[in-house]
Amino acid sequence: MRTPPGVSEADFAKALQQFAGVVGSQWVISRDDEVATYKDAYSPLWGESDEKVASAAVAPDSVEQIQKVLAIANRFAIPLYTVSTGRNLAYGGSSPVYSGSVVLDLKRMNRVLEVSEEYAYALVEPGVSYFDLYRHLRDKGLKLWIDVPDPGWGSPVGNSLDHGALLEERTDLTPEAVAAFVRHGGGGFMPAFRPTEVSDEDLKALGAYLARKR
Amino acid sequence: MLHDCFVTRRQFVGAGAAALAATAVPAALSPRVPIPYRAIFDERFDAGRQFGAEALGRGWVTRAIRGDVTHVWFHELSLRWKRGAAPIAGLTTASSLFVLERLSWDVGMRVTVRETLTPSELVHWLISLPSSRDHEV
Repeated sequence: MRTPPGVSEADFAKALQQFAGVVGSQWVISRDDEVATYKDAYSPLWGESDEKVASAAVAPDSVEQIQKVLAIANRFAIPLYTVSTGRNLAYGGSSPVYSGSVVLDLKRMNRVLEVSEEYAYALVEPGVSYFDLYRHLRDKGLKLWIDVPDPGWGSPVGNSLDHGALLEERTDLTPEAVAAFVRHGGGGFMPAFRPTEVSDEDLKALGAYLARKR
Repeated sequence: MLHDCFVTRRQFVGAGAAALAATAVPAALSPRVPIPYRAIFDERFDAGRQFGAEALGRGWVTRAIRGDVTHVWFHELSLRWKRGAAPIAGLTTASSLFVLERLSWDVGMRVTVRETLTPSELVHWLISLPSSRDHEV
């Protein structure tokens, strides 16, 4: 088992035990083959000595559990590396920037807490994926649109914090381009939407909004 | 047709071997594994269609894909896996398996059978809980 830099095996074992006391032993990942799932599959350093790898992972289910995990990590001076869904593959994925860190995996925190149709915002936990949010909007029949990235299994929170680009920020869109993307999926870059899903009227309004002069 | 609620890994691989006729599939697998929740095959390929037919004949619930696993994952697997692990089997491209493998990790499953077929490079696979956790199914 790998240990975090500067942390003894004995202390690390104690920390893992305490993590397990908080989140449950099944959510502390320390076996080598399990920890390997946190590697970035597209890492250019794959298999090399300086590849960034985790020493373990811990997956809390609530803010309270996070607070307890942080207290334990502080007590043993264990570096943590936080991921939401950890699927920004080729950009690091869930592998830590500081090799040997324990990955604080927030994938279990996948609840959509609040969505305001009136003000067009969503309050979500970090493990919510774009697919989760999309499903929530559809299930609730909310007339809201999310920016759809290529990796739908990624996290809106993670993607935003990781400098995700928003359609809102683009200044080169035309109503015709927006319509083409929505109806035809932009050549496969995103799902295509039928008029029963996004009405012509809504599409026209969306196109006018995104193409407005700023 | 299977009447038992379990199929051995040997049977699973054997089914693939029968379906794939000219393809040699090692059968060095023995522990009992559950019937897959879904058998997924890539219908663009002869081997995939044959696998799908064989799986259907065994009473497995099959789903055809054309490379993209989004539909079956979004509408079926993700909903089922919210309730816990459920094994799936398939014959697809490595790219399709790559996606399903990573999604399955979130519920503790792993690729427990992985056979790359030559010369097609399609992959015949089973995703299930590792044997140490089979009791959780």
